[in-house]
Amino acid sequence: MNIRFNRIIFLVCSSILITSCHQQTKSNGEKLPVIGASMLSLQSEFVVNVKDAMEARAKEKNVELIVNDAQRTAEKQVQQIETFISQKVDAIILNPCEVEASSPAIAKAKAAGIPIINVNSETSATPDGFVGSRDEQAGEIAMEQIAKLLSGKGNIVMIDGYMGQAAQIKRAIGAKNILAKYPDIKVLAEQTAEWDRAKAMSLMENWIQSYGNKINAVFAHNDEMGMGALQALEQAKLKDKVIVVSIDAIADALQAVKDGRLDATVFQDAKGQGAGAVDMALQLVKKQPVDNKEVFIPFQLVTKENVDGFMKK
Amino acid sequence: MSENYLLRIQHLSKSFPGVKALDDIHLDIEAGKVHAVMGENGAGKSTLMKILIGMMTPDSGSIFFKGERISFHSVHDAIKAGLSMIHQELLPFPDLTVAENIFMGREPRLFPGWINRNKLNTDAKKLMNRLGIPVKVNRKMNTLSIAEMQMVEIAKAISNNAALIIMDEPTSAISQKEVDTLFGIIRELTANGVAVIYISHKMDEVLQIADTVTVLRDGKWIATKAAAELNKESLINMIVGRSLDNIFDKKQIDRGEVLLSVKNLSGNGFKNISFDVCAGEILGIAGLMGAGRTEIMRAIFGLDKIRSGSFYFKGKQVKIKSPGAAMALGIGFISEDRKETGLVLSATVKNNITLSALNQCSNNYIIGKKKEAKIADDQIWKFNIKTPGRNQVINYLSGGNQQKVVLAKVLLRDPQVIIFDEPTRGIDIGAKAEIYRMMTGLAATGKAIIMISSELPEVLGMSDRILVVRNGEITGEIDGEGATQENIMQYAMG
Amino acid sequence: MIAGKLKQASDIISRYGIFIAFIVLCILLSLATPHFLTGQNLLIILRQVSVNGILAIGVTFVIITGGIDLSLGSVVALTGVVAAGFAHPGTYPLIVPLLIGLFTGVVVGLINGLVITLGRVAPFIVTLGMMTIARGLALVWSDGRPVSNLSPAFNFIGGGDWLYIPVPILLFMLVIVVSYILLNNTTIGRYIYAVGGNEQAAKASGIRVNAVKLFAYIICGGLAALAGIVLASRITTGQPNAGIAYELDAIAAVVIGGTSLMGGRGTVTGTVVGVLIIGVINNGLDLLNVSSYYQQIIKGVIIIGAVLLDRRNAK
Repeated sequence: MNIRFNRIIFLVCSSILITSCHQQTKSNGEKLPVIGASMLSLQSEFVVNVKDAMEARAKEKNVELIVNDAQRTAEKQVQQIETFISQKVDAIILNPCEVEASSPAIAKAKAAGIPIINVNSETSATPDGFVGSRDEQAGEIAMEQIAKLLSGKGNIVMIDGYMGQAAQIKRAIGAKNILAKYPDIKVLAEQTAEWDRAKAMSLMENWIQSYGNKINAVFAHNDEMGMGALQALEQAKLKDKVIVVSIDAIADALQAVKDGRLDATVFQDAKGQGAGAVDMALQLVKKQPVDNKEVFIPFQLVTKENVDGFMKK
Repeated sequence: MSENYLLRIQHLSKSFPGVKALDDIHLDIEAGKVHAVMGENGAGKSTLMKILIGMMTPDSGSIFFKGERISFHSVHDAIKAGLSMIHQELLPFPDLTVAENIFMGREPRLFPGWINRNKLNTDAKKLMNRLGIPVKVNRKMNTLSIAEMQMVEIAKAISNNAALIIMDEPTSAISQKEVDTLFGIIRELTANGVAVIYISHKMDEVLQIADTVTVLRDGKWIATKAAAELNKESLINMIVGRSLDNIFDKKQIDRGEVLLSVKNLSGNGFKNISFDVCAGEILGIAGLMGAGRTEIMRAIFGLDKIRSGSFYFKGKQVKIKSPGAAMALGIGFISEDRKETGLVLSATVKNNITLSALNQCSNNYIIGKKKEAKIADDQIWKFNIKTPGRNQVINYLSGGNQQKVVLAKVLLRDPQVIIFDEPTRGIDIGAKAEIYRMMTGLAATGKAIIMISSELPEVLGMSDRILVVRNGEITGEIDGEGATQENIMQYAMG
Repeated sequence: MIAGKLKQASDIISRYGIFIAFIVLCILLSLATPHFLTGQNLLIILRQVSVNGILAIGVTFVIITGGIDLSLGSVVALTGVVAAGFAHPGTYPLIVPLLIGLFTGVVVGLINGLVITLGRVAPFIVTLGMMTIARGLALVWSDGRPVSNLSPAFNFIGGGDWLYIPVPILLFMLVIVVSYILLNNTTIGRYIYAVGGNEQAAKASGIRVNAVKLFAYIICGGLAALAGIVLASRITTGQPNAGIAYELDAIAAVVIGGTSLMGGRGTVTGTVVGVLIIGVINNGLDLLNVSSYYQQIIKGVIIIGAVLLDRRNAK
């Protein structure tokens, strides 16, 4: 028992040693500026794209970038920021998990005198800089497109993201802002599918049973769920009668738009956000003046007409 | 006169379903004396002690302690009244210190919720010095030897102001030197007016330390005598002296070839075991509980690993590394604990019966359900198992019927050597007689039978030959004809 | 007299409680919404439950041996992305992604089983570790992105019909039949029950306990792989974050179906009913447009209720 336990301790210690050595040689060699980044979830394709853009830009600018995955928990995220502070990184990029719960991370970084900027979404505490998009805008663009395609009249269903997360709340607010302008568009049902394609597919199948031909359009908070709804509709041979619009412009969705299956998606500029965040962080590290501390990278509607331009990005 | 007794037990009785565990017991304990209680396994000692310390309530009778009539409802009550027990199996808090163990639940406080550690340690040290116990109070309990732990338990009892301490087999796991230390402490206790009830199988020790000896047998009080009047022989007579019931149906069968031999077998709990068993023979294995008999048989059946030694089956050397290997040779094992190793209680009667003989009704992969049902029904009929049907979950059967299912299961493979470990424990007299008849019948068809039993009449009534095991070694071999309870006990107790 | 009748009735309820509960549930739902009891909806329910059903039957084997497998959901994701990686159009024939996917699941099950039996680590711990290992491997393999652009042949497994019946349903049925035979008519099935009911007694009966447990974990891993392939095919992508918490739905179905978490007791039919109950609840509450908040509460109540019923049964 003891021997086994000792062995585990040995394994853990040695793996920590190996990884820390690895980092030291890298940083000691040239004394690069170090940026720590805590990302919402590296299991989300969009966040991975932002991360890739950050890494590409960091390499370009000769910056060392440490990326941590907060796995959608604000508590973990705050701990990661604390670790960055004790590692004495030069700047922190925060891709917040939650509006309120991730805010303590900002206060801690500021207290330690380390510049911190938010990427992609907001927190209630104000960081030193912000690069991202307003999720409300995405909801507005998507719903505006649905209203346009329905000519302002019809029945829709809405598939929400994970309830209580900032993106879900804001995309829903954006959609409802637009719906208020179109009293003839009726929401038949609204339900969460937790950002998950399989869950959205099951949900859509069930809705087809209860609403059948009454559904004119589907709004899904992300493309994964949009694709799930799309597949359910195709299997029920209803797709040509129902409009599907979702958000994020992931590769699958862009292909579907190109193939004429998905009616529209909303492009969020992962590259622009990731690169912009690294640029702003570097400016703060070098104490250069920053003209605009809040950079909003707009969402763009993607339809069959303009999809080719996005597929290259 | 009666005021002189610290503890008086009168007309105490306690029954369990089918057994009268205690029958009109009386016992008087004087302050400052060591009173030994002796008897065979199942004589009623543990039931009596469990009642004394509040773990069980008696059916009838009365107990007076310090002149007052008492009835404890929990161990806690008993300890509060000044009655403590040192169990055979100690249950300390292994990661706490000696001092913390002694004052567990009664720690001196600085203020509520805050332990006064200094006082805890000095109090413990004072206590140990007073009793002459050479153990440092800041040691962790798990660094102590068993003897040291016992002494700590005694100190704990004394710190509870115990006027009477019950010691259950205190010397079963400690060395001779430690026994001497323990006896020193016991004498110290009695000199201070504490009474000790001393339960032990070891006659030498009892005669050495006890002032008075009481013997129980079959739940009945047999005698109470001053230790000075007794010797080993008279004690054994008192412990075993009873007539044999003739339910054994023993037949004389000619001994055939040697089926199984073991040579110099050593393993966990036993060493240097050698014996043969022949076709047609019933070999009784006697000894006290914990002597290592079951361990030997488990090793022979491949359930436990051996350190050294060899097996011979029909004269050929064989390896037995798993129960499967033993069964393939033709060895069957009817375990002592049918709930632990004998039966799958959540399964049906049929599934238990066929479990180790599915090859008889399958092509090794697919079970032939009809054939299996027939085999099960045959066994149910043959062994007279009382069950509503073969698909009854076995948990709902009575103990005797469960035991018959174990027999039906093991004998279905037609083993040549059958090991019975305590075959009649906890079953009623009728089922016992059936099992005895079955054993005799098996021997008559040329099977070799090894029977472990703690019931001496059973060993004497059934065995052609008896091996006695003590402390993991064979201490005696007695021919069935010449065996008496007295000479078995002599070998068993040493 | 009346008491006797009542007792008889309560015996029947506790014996067939879960079947009765299922039928009552169906009756209630068909009264509540006309869309429930239609042939098409029933087919949809079956298709929706087939992934959870295959998983639940796999874990039934493990639970009967007295073990548990918490790595199911992650294995679904891992085998899904691995199979999808070999299923791009114009690369390999269909059999390749299928065999590689199944093999991956079998290997995971084998590792679980080996650590549990030879390493003597509690199944809960081993499969908890495997849960994150398999998830990590899925992310590594797929680089954190869905593996999409799969061949039509691969997508047929989850989305196609054969003789008007969706392929996932056919696979689920096949798994039910084979598992039923394995557990009821074969020696290894009998040994699985014996090992779970009393490991010591099984050992003393000459059963190779470790081999039996290993078999159960391999079956469980293999069926998780099948479920992973069906899921990836159904949603036409291998998702590294698919199947999160699927093990809980599978274990819930097994428990609702009357299999004891202590081992030794349980049936395939019980598990199938458990799977159907969960599927019908999900479908029915969606049809009624009940808020997903309440859906979670209702599901939890039904799970606990089922086990309470089971306790009475065991008494």
